Amino acid sequence: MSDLLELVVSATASGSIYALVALAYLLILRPTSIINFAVGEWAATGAFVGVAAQTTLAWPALDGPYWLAVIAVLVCLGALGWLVEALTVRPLIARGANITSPILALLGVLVIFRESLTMLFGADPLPSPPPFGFKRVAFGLFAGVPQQFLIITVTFVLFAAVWLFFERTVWGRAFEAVALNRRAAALMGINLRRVTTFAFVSGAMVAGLAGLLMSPLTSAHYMMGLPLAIQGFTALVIGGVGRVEGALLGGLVLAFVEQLGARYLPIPSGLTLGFPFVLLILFLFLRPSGLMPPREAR
Amino acid sequence: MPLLRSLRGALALALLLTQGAVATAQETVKIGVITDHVASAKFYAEPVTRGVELGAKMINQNGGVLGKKIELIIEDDQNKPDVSAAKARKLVDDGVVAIISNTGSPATQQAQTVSLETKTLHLTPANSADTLTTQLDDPYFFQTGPLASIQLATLMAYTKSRGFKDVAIVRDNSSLSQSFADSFRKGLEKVGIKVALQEVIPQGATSAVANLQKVRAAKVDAILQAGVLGPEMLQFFRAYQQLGMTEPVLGSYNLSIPAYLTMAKDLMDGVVFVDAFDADKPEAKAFTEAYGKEYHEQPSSLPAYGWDGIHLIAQAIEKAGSLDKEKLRAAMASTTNYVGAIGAKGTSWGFRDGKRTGFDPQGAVVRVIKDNQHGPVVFAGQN
Amino acid sequence: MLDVSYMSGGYGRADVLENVSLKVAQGEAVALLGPNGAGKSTLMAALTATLPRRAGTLRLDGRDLSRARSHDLVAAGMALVPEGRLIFTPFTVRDNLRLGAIALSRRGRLAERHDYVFGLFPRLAERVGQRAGTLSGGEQQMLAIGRALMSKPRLLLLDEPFLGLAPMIVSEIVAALRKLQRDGLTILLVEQKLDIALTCTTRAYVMLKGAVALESSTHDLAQRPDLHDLYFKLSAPRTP
Repeated sequence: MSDLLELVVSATASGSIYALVALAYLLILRPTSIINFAVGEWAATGAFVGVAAQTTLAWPALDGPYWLAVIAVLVCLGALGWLVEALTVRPLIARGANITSPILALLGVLVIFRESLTMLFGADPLPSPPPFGFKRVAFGLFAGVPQQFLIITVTFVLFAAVWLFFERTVWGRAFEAVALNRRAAALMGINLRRVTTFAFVSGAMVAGLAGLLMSPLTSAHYMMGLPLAIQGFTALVIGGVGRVEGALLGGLVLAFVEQLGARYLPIPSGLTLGFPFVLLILFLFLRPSGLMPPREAR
Repeated sequence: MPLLRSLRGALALALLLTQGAVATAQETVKIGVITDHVASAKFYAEPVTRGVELGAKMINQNGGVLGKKIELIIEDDQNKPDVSAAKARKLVDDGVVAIISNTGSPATQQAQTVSLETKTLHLTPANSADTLTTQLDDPYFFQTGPLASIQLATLMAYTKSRGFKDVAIVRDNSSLSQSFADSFRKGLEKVGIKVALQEVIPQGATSAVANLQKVRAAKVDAILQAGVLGPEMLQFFRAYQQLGMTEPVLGSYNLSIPAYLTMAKDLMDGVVFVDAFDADKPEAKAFTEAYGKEYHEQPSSLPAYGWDGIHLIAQAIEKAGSLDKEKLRAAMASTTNYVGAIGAKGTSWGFRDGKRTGFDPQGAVVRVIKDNQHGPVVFAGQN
Repeated sequence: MLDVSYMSGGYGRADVLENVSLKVAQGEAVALLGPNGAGKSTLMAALTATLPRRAGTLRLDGRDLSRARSHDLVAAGMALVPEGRLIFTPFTVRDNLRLGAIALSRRGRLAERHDYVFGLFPRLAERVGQRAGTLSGGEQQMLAIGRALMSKPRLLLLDEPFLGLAPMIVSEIVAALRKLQRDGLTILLVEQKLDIALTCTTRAYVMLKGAVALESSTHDLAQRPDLHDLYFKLSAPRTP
């Protein structure tokens, strides 16, 4: 039983990371209809920025405290998100290009980011220091390492904040409005360009945070982006593209299926790596709208 | 005939000059090195090549070979077999008397086509693939790298000596890890140890808790770690620590990568792995000292392979007494009992029974990781 | 107030609009008539900068806004009630209205605008917390108009606001439009049917095939017995 509870903590933490990546997709996808697969590389960038800010292992080797890493990640990824939008997305949208053009352009961005990370930081995985150490802790019946609880807490708080933003503030409603109907939103006087920029900046920040939070558990490694991009996308599909809560639910469902399946299903261990793909295909075929349908059901 | 005389004179002068030019060119002994600066073999090719460079420098300081200095010509094959063969040919055209191959086994295999054709002495000091000397019958090619089969046998002998009955194998889903795991399984069966289960940590996993809970539940005596991917290796050790597990962790040379010590700091103490370097051996000490003086840091075992490799070639040249290709080949092939920096105490390099693999079957050691360093030898050989 | 010259443009390569020119004076209520496919809605898209390609001049109160973007035009005082209403159905009435006021920071105050709209359409006040998707067709149209009014426009464009509405609702909305005009709002109303246009507007342009075919007072236009034929005649190819 204690095995199960410890696994629940682990799955919730992993699911939270998937949810954050799914949220990054969602923040960009909803107002612009652009699927940005580069979010995985943004997460990897966040992990490396964290290492560079807290240790001497990577340039600029600041060897600083955790809050410095958090600020560095938000600032760097925000700037990078802004840059990517301005250089690759905005010109394409201005030219009236079909929606697949920015999606393809962002695949190119994905490759550029990964190669840059390899050049800047090398091919070896770098350890990322956890702010609260690694001694096993228990909250009641649930046991795990502090980093897992930190991930869970930050994710739930962030999701609550994002939900409040979209549901209860005017600018959040404006964002939603752009997602519902771009043209109507423009007619209201909502500045579409600003919304797109905000989408990319916030998406990049969230992705960077996901990488920073995850890296103490998995190291900062130049190859970490692609699996995350796939896991986050699967979580998004499972949860439903229309709602913020859906991203969280999708992430948790994916992680629980993965880890509980690995622990308790009597199948050879190697097969568990197919779970995300099986789920992705199942949902795309049977329930493409995801578990939580968007609210505009007429 | 004055014209004829002057022609003959001119010809004689020309010949004299050319011979002189050749003599000037032959002031150094050129040895080629194929390395990888940029691609997948970089992380071991570069340290090994460094060892070669250091060894050449030492030899030159002590008078060189046959009274001449060694000149290293280094080429990059990007760990690609075709490029490796092309670079080997370029080295031969540049006048090398021997080629040292430091990149991946497939690249070394392809370069052999050139050493065979041009009858050039060819050595790989670090490749461990078991079939490099058997796929192609190239009498000029010699392998002193630690054969995977020898390393595995050493690991298995150690595992058996610990009295383990049931073990678990943990690997990742890369093909290299899979081949390690397969060889572990076969080796364990041979020594009568049962593999209770095999767990796979897939690339991109965010937690290995589920895998290790299963291992813990199986109550095995030890865990054989066959992983090669860094982040997944870290997950393994994180989960191992989180679950408070105490089963001994063993690995082959897949766990000898120095980068893991940084990545999994404080997590790997007590882990045993296979290597071919006993830091206590006098020759190893001499190498470590020379390395420290030159590069101001502690070496891993990798440069020692290169160091021994260039020294082996140098002793073959001295033994041959000339740069004649056949004499060089024969001199190398007759190498026995050459003690280098690499290898367990009491073992030596040698090409015995007409084989061209020179690593001593008893030369591998099992070392334990202590204080985040590659620590002392706890077991040597295969018995 | 509104001065449009040589407006052309379209969605793809081909131009839908061909050199459309029209004027609306301050305080006027002008109709834009024409059959289906005449390009009326396309012109609305051009005026609100939601048409992908457009050329020509657009002046509002003398300001050249030809290159302005949609949100700038709203801030400049021009609002469109689009064809099909395009209200945000999952949002409440309150949220829909609130969004209409997003450009409001430049002039007026939020509470005052709310009061004005609720005074015009009391039904909206009753349903302020309801999801817009649950409103009746007529109420949704009122919401669409109210939403456009929240930005305190000086020129209101309406694209076929009476489509599919019961006559009673139509008269309610017509009454509201009359009040708006009395309050000083300039109106450009896109309509297919002349009889409704008669009740709200004094002047009309007739569009056919992407161009302005005729300009007349609505009164004169209504007197013509051959209006139906007129549509056909004007759309016939001109003989030299």
